[in-house]
Order: sequence, then C-alpha cells, then structure tokens
Amino acid sequence: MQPTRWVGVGSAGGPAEGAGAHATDEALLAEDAKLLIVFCSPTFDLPALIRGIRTRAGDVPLIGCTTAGEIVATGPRDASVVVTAFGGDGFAVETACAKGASRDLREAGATAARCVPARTDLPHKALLLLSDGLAGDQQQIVRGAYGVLGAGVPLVGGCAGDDLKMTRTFQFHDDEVLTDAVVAAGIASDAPLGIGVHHGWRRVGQPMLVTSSAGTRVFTLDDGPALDVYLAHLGLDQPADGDREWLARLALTHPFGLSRPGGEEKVRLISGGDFGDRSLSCVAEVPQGALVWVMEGDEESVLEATEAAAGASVAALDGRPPLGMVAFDCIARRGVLGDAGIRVEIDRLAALAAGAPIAGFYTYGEIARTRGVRGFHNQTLVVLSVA
Amino acid sequence: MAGAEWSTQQLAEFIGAVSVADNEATAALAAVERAAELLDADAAAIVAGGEIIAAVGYPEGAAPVADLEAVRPGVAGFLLEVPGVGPCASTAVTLEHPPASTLVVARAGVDGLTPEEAGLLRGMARVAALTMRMLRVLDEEREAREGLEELAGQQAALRRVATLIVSGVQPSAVFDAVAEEVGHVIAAADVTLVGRYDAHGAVEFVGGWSREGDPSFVGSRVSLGGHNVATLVLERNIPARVDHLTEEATAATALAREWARSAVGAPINVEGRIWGVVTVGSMQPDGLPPGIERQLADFTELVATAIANAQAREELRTIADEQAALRRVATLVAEAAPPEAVFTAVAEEVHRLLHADETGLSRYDPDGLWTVLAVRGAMTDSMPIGFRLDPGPSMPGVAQLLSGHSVRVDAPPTGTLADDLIRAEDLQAWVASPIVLMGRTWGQVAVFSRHGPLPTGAEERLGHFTELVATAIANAQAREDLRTIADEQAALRRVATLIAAAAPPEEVFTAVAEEVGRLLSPDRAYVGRYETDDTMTHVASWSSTGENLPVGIRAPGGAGTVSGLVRETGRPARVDRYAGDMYAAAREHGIGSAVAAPITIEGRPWGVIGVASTSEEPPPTGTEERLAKFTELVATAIANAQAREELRTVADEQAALRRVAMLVARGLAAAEIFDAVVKETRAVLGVDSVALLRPESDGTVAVLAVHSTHPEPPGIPVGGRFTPEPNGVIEPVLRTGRPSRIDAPEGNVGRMAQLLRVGGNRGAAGAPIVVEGRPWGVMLAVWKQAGALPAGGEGRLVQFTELVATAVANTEAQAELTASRARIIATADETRRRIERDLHDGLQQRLVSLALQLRAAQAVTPPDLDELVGELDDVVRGLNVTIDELREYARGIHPAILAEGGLAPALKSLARRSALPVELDVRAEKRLPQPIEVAAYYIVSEALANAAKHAEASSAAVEVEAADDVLRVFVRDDGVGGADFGRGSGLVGLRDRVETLGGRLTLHSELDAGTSIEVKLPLRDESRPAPG
Repeated sequence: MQPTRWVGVGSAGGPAEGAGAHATDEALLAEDAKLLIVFCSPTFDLPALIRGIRTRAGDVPLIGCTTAGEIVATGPRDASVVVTAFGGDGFAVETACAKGASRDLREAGATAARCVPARTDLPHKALLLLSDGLAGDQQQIVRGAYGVLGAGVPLVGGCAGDDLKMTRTFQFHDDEVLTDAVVAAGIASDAPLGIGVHHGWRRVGQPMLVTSSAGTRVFTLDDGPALDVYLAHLGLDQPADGDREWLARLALTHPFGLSRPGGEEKVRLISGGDFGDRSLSCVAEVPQGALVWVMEGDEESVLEATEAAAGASVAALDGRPPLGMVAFDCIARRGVLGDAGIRVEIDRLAALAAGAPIAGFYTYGEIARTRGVRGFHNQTLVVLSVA
Repeated sequence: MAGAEWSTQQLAEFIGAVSVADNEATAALAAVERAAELLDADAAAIVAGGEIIAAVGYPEGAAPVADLEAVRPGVAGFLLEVPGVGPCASTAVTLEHPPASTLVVARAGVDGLTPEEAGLLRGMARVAALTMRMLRVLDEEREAREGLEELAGQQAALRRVATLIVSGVQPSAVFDAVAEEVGHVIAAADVTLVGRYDAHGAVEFVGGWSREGDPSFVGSRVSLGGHNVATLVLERNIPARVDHLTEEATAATALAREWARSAVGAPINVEGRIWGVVTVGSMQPDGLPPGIERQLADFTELVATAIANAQAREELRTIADEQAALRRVATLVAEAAPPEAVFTAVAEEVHRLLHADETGLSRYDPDGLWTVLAVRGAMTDSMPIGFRLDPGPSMPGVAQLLSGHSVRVDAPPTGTLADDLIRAEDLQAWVASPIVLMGRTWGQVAVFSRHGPLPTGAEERLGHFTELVATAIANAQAREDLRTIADEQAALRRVATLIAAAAPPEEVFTAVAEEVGRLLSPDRAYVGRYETDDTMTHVASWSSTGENLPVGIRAPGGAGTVSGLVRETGRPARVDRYAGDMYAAAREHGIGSAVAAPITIEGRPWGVIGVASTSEEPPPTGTEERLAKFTELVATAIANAQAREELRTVADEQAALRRVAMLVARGLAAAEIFDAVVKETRAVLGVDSVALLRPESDGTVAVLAVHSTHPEPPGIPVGGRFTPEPNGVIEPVLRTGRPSRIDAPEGNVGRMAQLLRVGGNRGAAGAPIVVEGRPWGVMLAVWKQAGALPAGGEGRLVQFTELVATAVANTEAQAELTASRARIIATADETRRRIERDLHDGLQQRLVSLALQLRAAQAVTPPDLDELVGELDDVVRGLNVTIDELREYARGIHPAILAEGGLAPALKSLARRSALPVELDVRAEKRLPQPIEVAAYYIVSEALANAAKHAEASSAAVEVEAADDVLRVFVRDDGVGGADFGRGSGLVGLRDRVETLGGRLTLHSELDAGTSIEVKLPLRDESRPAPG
C-alpha cells in the first residue's frame, strides 16, 4: 500500500490560545500529523498561542516563527496565525533547534541541519529552516547547513519577521518560544519536494564597488560613504531629520544586487542605515570587493517572479499535483506590490496550487538552496511545493 | 561585463572573505566555500596528503578524499560524483600551502571550467595559499610568543604550587593555589575549580578561583550527569571540553553563579585512579582557546602529587594509627580478655579512628532485636550497654549486614531505628560492618556521623575490627566450650571413678546430682527413679540454694511432666512451660521449666537425670545432651551395683548350693544334709530363720532341721511337731506345691501376719520339697526386717529345696539299691543252700543208698562170679567217687559247714582243702550275721582259688578279725600279682557282695608283688535299712 501523505492548513485570529487551537484544528486533517509549521503575527501572546496549538496537536513536532504578515489561500493577513500540518506515513520528520545562533551562525546552521531523517525508503528530502533574520549573516546559516548536508539535501525557508519593526523576531520549537535561534525540520518524503525561487528585480544604473565592508555592514561604495553613494544613485538627498523609517521603506524597494556568474543577481535587502557613520546594514553579507547594483522592481516583474518561483516548485514535482504549497515571500515584495498586488500574487499562487492549501509568510530573508552553495536570498519569493 | 573585470571583482570578494579569517583552518573553509560560491560549484575541497583540510558539498565528514585527490591539477576531464547532484566536472589547482595540497572544485555537468574561471580558480588558490601560509606563520609566531609567555607564567605558577606541595601544606591549600594559578595562567579563564569525585556520582569542589574573586562554590557538591566537563572527564578520564554550555550543564558543574559558556576539564589521576578534575570555565561560548587541556594537565599532575603526598602522609598516619589500634585490640584478644573488654576497646578505637560522632557495637538477638554491647558518643546515655533496640523492618542495609556485607548509608534513611536516631540524634550517615561468626552475622559495629558521609573506605577499616571482634568472641566461646568440656569431663571422670570404685549407687546418684548442678548451674538438679505408679522417687537432689529436696520423696512422673515425657519417648525431653494440671503441681514445687534425660537399664526406663528452673527462663538448649552424658554413667553405676549384687548373691548361692550338693553327693546322712541346708539357706537368703519341715500323716508337720541367727530359735525345736495355719505359708505350699510368701507390715491384718508380728517377724516364705513328684516337705524362711527377702526371693528358696529333694531322693535310692542287691545276694545264697541241702538230702543220700545196696549185692554175689563181683566192686568204687565229687560240689555251692559251724570251721576246711599251703589266722569266735559269714567265706574261697589258679602263688595267708563292729578279712598271696576287677575274675562279684553289705573291698595287686585283698564289712546294722 502506498504510504499516505497529507497537508492541511488552518488559520485564525483573535485571542492567542483560542486562535492557535482553532487554526490547529483546521490544519489537522487526520491524526497522524508529523509536523506542524506555525507562522503568526508577533502581536500574539506567543506562549499562549503555542499552548493552544499544543493542546490540540499534542507532541507533534512543531517549528514556526513570527512574521511580517501571514499568507493563506484566501489572501494575506495580519495579526493571524497560520498552521500548516504535514501528515501521513509518507512523511518522516525530525526537528532541531540552535539557540543563541548569533554567537556562531555557521555552527547554528550546522546544528539545525542535523535533523534530516536517514530514511532510505523516503528518498526525497529537504531541510526547512526558520531563522532570526536580525541575527546576522544568514548565508552563514546556509553554509553551516550545507557543510553538514552537502549538495544532496535542498534547503528552504525564511527569516522570521516582526511586522517591520526590525527589533525582535521569535522562533518556535515544540513548546519553546525563542529569539536568536534557528529552528529546522528535516523532512523525508516518498514523493518529491519541489522548491522554486525567483525575485523579479532589475538593476538600476551603474554598478558600485564595495570598497569597504565587514560582514553585513557596508561602509564605503566606490570609496564614498555607502549611505550617501546609495542615495545618490537613487537621485535622493539625505533627509534632514535622518528618518530611519523613511530609509527602511526606501531600502525595501531598492535592495542591492550582487552579480553572480550564473546570471541572476543575488539580492541583498538593506535593513537600515547609520546616519552617523554613513554606513548601510544588509541582512546578509556584502563582501568587500564585490560589485553591487541598486535594484528595483515593479508590480509586473514581481508577479512574474511569483509565477516563475511557484511554477518551478510545482514543475519539480515530477508531474504530481501539489498537496500543499508553502511560500516564503520577501516583505520587500509586499512593499512593491501593495495590498492589491499581493492579493493578485496569492491568487496566482492559488491557481498554480490547483486547490491545494497554501500557507506562507512575509519574510526578512528567504532560504532556497537547490544547487550550489548559495542559498540565501533577499527580495525573493521561495515556494515549497509538496507532492 | 568583461571577463577580466568579473574575475577581478570575484577575486576581490574572495580575498575579502578569506582575509578576515583569523586562523588557517577558518581560512581554508572560507576558501573552499567562497571558491564554490564564486564558481557556482557544487562541491569544493582542499586536500593534502590524504587528508581533507576543508570541504563543502558533501555530507558532513563524508568527502571522498581519494576521489578528490585523484583530480590532478592541469588535467581536464575529471568527473566527481557529488551526492544529490550527480556527475560533476572537476578541476584541481595546486596550492602553495599547505604542502602538497590541491584545491578541487566540482560543478554539476560535464563541462569543465572556462579558461576565465580556471584563471579565477588559480587566483583564488594563490590567495588562499598565501593567506593560509601567512596565518600559519602568524599563528606559529603568536603561538610561540604566547607559548613562551604562557610557559614562563605557567612554569612560575607550577613552581609556586610545587613549592607549596613540598612545604607539606594541606591539600586544600594546594587546591586553592592551583585554581588561582590556573586562573592566572589561562587568560581566558573566568573561573577555575578543583573537584574531587566521590563514590556516589557527585563531584565536590575542594578548591576554586574566580576572576571576580568570589569562589563561593568551593565546598559545594554537585551530582554528575549530562553534558558537562566534570561528567565527561570522569567518563573518559581524558581532558574534555564543552564550548557551548547550557545553563543546566553549567549549574551541574557549579562553574559559577553566572552562566559559564564554555569549559575545559582535565582529570586528576592519583595512583592510577581518577581522583578529581581541574576545570576552567569561560563566560564566552568559545572562550577557551585550544591547548588549554595540555596546560591543565601540568597542573593536574601537581595536584595529583599533592594529593598523593598528602594521602601518603595521611594514609601512613592512618595506617599507623589503625595498626596501633588493631594491635591493641589484637593484644586484648590474644590475652583472652573477656569479649566485653574487646567490645569496649573496639568501639573506642573505631570511634576515634573514623572520627565518628556515634559508635555502637551490637549483637543481633534471635528475637530480631539488637543488644548494645558497646557504645561511644552522645548516645551512651540514650542507648547504654545492654539497651535493646528494634531495628525495624525497613531499616536499610540490615539484609546486607545479615548476608555478611558492610553497609554505607550516606543519606538520612527511613525506618524505625532510623527515625528514632534522626529525631533524637540528628544522624546523617552511617557505615556498619557485620561481625561474622562461623559464616553467620553475629552482630555489627556501626559508626554514625552528623556531618555528611563517613570517610571513604570506612567499611573496610571497620571490617578489620569486626574480624577481631569475631575472633575474640570465637576464642571466648572456644575457651568457654573448652572449659565446659573440661568441667564436664572432670565431672564425668569423678562420677566414673566413683563407679569404678564400686561406690554404692546412692553415692553415685548424689555425686551426679551435685556435678550436674555445678556444671549446668540450674536451680535444681536431681536423679529420679521411676516407680510402678506414675511417680518418681528422688534418689538424689541438688539445689542452687543448698536446700536440697530430701532423698526418697515422691514426685509426679506421669503424663505432662518432663519425667513422663522422657519415659514415654525414651529420649531427653524438656518442658519449657508447665501447663494445665502440671502447671499447678510444678508451681507447687517451684518449678517453671525442666529438662530431663533418661536412665535406661537393660533397655528398660529406670529413671531420669533432670534439671529444673524455678524461673520462667528455661534451661538453655543443649542441656539435654549434657544431661545425657551422665545418664549412661548412672545407668552403668546402677547396672554395676546390680551386677555386683547379683554376682555376689549368685556366688554365695552357688557356694552354698555346692556345699550342700557335696554333702548330698557324699551320701551323708539325711539329717546332716538337712542341717547343712537350713544353715546355708538362711545365710544365702539373709533371713533370720530357716526350717525344714516334713508333713506327717496326722496333718502336723515335723521339724526336721532349723537354723536361726538367734541363739534361742523361736518356735518348735527339731523333732517337734505343729499344725500349720490354714492359708498361712506352709499350708498353701503343701497344698499347691508352689512357693508362698506373706509380708507382714503393720497394715497387714491377716492372722498369719499378726502371728508373724507377734513373733517379731515381718515376713515369711515357704517353698516345697518335691521328691518324685510328691510334696515331701517344706522349707520355711522367716525374717524380722521388712524387705529382707526381696520380692521373688522365695524363688531362690526353691533352689535349696530342690537340693534337699535331691538329697532325700538320693538317700532313698541308695538305700533301695543296697537293699535290692542284698536281697539278690541273699536269695542266691539261699538258693545255693537249698541246692546244697537238696543235693545232700536227696541225690547224695540216694547215691549213698545205691552204693550200700550195691555193696549188699556184692556181698551176696557168689564168689564164682568173681568177674561180676569185681565189676560190682568197680561200680561201688565209682559210685563213691561220684558221691565224693557231688559232696565237694555241693560244698562249693554253699558250704554246709558254714551254716553249721560258723566261719572259723568253714575257713579251716577251706584252707585244708586248698591246693596251696595256707596260713590261716581267724579271730572271730562268735557267730556273725549270715550274710557277713557267707561274704567272708566266699571272699577267702575266691581269693585262694585265684591264688592257686591264676597267680602261680606258692603260698597264701588269710587273716580274719572281727573288731569295732567291723569284720576285717585279709587274703594275701606271693603270686605274680596284676589282678584287677576288669579281668573277668570273680572280684567284681565279691565287691558287689561287700558293697551290698555296706562294706568296702580294697585290692592291691602290683605285678610280681603278690596280691592282697582287704575287705571291711560293717557289723552294725542300725543305719542300714532293713532288707525287705
């Protein structure tokens, strides 16, 4: 008999514990759940929310994180919880958690990666990672995980959000609510797990040389103060009050692009700037000596990327219809698309999902490694389709 | 973008990434990762000399080093299989550093790198190599510098510690010093600890240092377990490192109040065993650089030395102390000190040696309680010596102690005793060691502490003392056993000596009661004899108070008593608590419990040896067996006495009987025999008088003989007659033919008894004299002292009456035989006389008449008839010869002259007619009784005939003399001799004739010495029964 597999998604709002329970009830299509993935607003009483979920699901392995907006088939949401359940004998799942990730992100990635079930009967594997995007160079997490798993296991996931407050995000592992953590679920399945990734940004103007940077911090571009050079490229003057929110909103739709030999740029979200030392902060490393471009996107290009990513993930299912779809959509894209745009985006996802449940969230960074070492993205939509 | 520009930018990025590495390994990893990223490769690695320096793209630790090394620089077309990707075109470039290393990249597909990419790779390789080499040099320089500094600091630190150790300070000071020095030497250390592992899965921090100057954790104990260095070090006994300590792990090793993020520990090994751990902790997750382990090792060695030194000193002192203590106790034991002294000494020594707060030595009693035998500490008052305590069912470790193993209880336990102790004494921990005696736990020595666990090894050290205690007890028991055995043997020997000396049983009984009393220390001891009723007579008794029960008293001995039990079972028995009816009886005698053993004689129960306890406490076990050792002796004594008595009686009796039998055999006159019999019988039976009575036809009995101890014999004298009392003693004997007896104690109101008492007698017995099936008489015994003739003694009377009967029968038979022979001889003589007379009166007379008639006829015959006359003359002559011969013949048959003229003329005639010259001397002028004369005549006749016919004698002499009522006949010849009674001579007939007459014939006939015959014939006929 073929092993069964099922994917259920439930969402709810309201008081935390009840919302958690309600969404869980909705997601649990059957009793043999193997994994719960929770995306929720940081506005919840998180322990109560997790308690509500665990009350219904028992000790089914759980990972999850806070978001900058939740995605379900019916549309984008805020202040809600979305619970995705993977179930059936066709899945085997183990979870892991690396706390205090910022001490050593690479090691945190490695620790989180050591949870992929060694099941030869379930040949299709993937590691789903949810991390704290504010904790440093997320590519290091990918490197750590790649160092453990090698090329054989694709990585997928995203960085937790906090409704764009950019102060503190939370990760969930079973009963725990954590910060500065990497949580992971190693999934083994007897059917393909398809991953698609696309951003839909394009270069604006001339490239700049990163003349001084350290990790995610870019100090100078073309030997000029990074903030000033960046703003100059956009034809903007520095606002007199040094408004951080203004800068964040601006950067959201104008990330850096790092050129890659393969063609598509690696997009680097700019998370903020320092009006004092005129530096820029990115959510991933911008290596010194690299060439960067300022990128921009419009609704059309972003939506095309949506179809490309989701289409690629479904195409990777070897012709099988998806049981469910999990989207990790950059918060920057939401900024580009606007409220109407993201509705359209979700409709397009739903169309590709062909009726299968959709879950997802707006992220501070996306993880998708299917080939090569690189796997951390910005301003990107990453879609995991589960057959 | 131009290729060169691209490459430059990529290379710049690569340099940027690699150059930030702060050590060679990080640089290598950054190099392969960045090379893979920049070349969009799936895998990359630096390999050198068969080792992976760094690799990505393969599962962790699974990079195929051989495959990777197979990819040679400058050679195209290599394909590597990367898991999850498939075949990857692979390119290798040589790295200038590390030596003989290559950087390999593998990218999905079969197309190799473009020349541009290959150039980039070479550039990256060069950058990586240079960076790595630079870092190596920097590393080495830094290490060298740091090493030198560290070394100097460390050496100084080690020297200081070593100096401390040499100065012999307490290890605790060394521990603190070490902790501090380590803290100073290892710059990254925020906290250092010296921990000692205990046997219970915990580590105790005995020294410490904190950068904040507050090592408050020193002295704390922490249970081991989990992922922390103290546990890891103990598990593996090698240095261990935990770089990302969890909060729990930190707490578990008490590294600090704050959360130490990383720690390194190294084991302290003392004498080959892990003793403890030196731990360094840092507040930083990766705060402790590599190599700390090595540095720590130098210190742990010093710590180990300090501990070993201190331990050696301590052990030496402890051993010396302990040895001295053990020697003192052993000396006590060897001196055979009382166990109590040993107990006290052991408690004291153990208390001191083990620094105990409380020490107790107790014995396990059979009832499950413990008796305190020695105690030291504050509990001396609450649990004094002799105190009995209940350990309770849940007392921990009791089972272990009972099975002979030591017990250590480190936590406050629960249980009856434990509760009491904890409440009353606040005891925290204890160690107990069993006192094992002959494989059984006899008791225990226990030491208690109010301040945490007792020292390690306390069990073993206690064990040395409990062994001595066991030895002391065993010795004492052995001595006690020996003394008991010796006492017992001495007692038994004394009793046996008494028995051997043929002491009277009463004396033996008394001795046994005393010996048993002394040996077994009961309240009472006694020897009892069973009576025919259910009682027992005390034949000896002893009391611990000296108030012995009088000998001879009767005590219950039936069912329910210990004596009854013994009698019933034939085995030793005990009654630990008298119950029922016997309870009252026993109480009356003041007896609570008793043990007794049987005295068995000839397989029959005779009595008991018993001990009794007046208290509720029964005599100890084993009393039965010890009593039994005496019972055999007593039985022997009794049996010996009985045997001696019986032997003497039998001997006396046999002697008496033999004497009487001799008399009987000698054919003494019945009266003499009767006198002898009564005399012997009286003596043998030990009675006062014995009489021989003969019933007369008139219903009276005649006294034939009597013997009495008293000069004036009572009753009827010999020859007197009296009429026996009906149903007395004599009458039933005559009536039934069986022995009879009457005892006449005061209570017997029978007439006979009264009669006996009137005569001062207490009993009489009679036995029949039965001759040829008829009652011939009665032997009567009379005694004045009660019991003089024991029951059944009348049977012994019978032995004598039988002898009397034999004597009587013999006398009568002899008389009859003599009479019978006399009758035969007389008849023969008479027949011969009749024949002689017949011959003389008949045939001879007719022949004479015939001869006369022939003579007459001859006279009338004509002379012419000369021939006829001659013939007639011949006939007459012949006839006269025949008459002469007939006369001679008749004379041989019975000489008529004997009847007519008496012996003298008859003998003269015989001598005249003899063929030998005979010298005859007859001095018996008077006529003698006819049988005597006939006998004498035939004796001389036969003797002379023999002398003439067989002895070839030339002469003979005959002497006959009648004097003193005896006729003596003596015939002698000078012939060849050699005659005897067996040679068919007429001597046998002569002797018969002589003996018939009560005479005696003596023959002397030596060869060539002639033959003489002497005959004595009694002339008095009073004692001779009248013939017929």
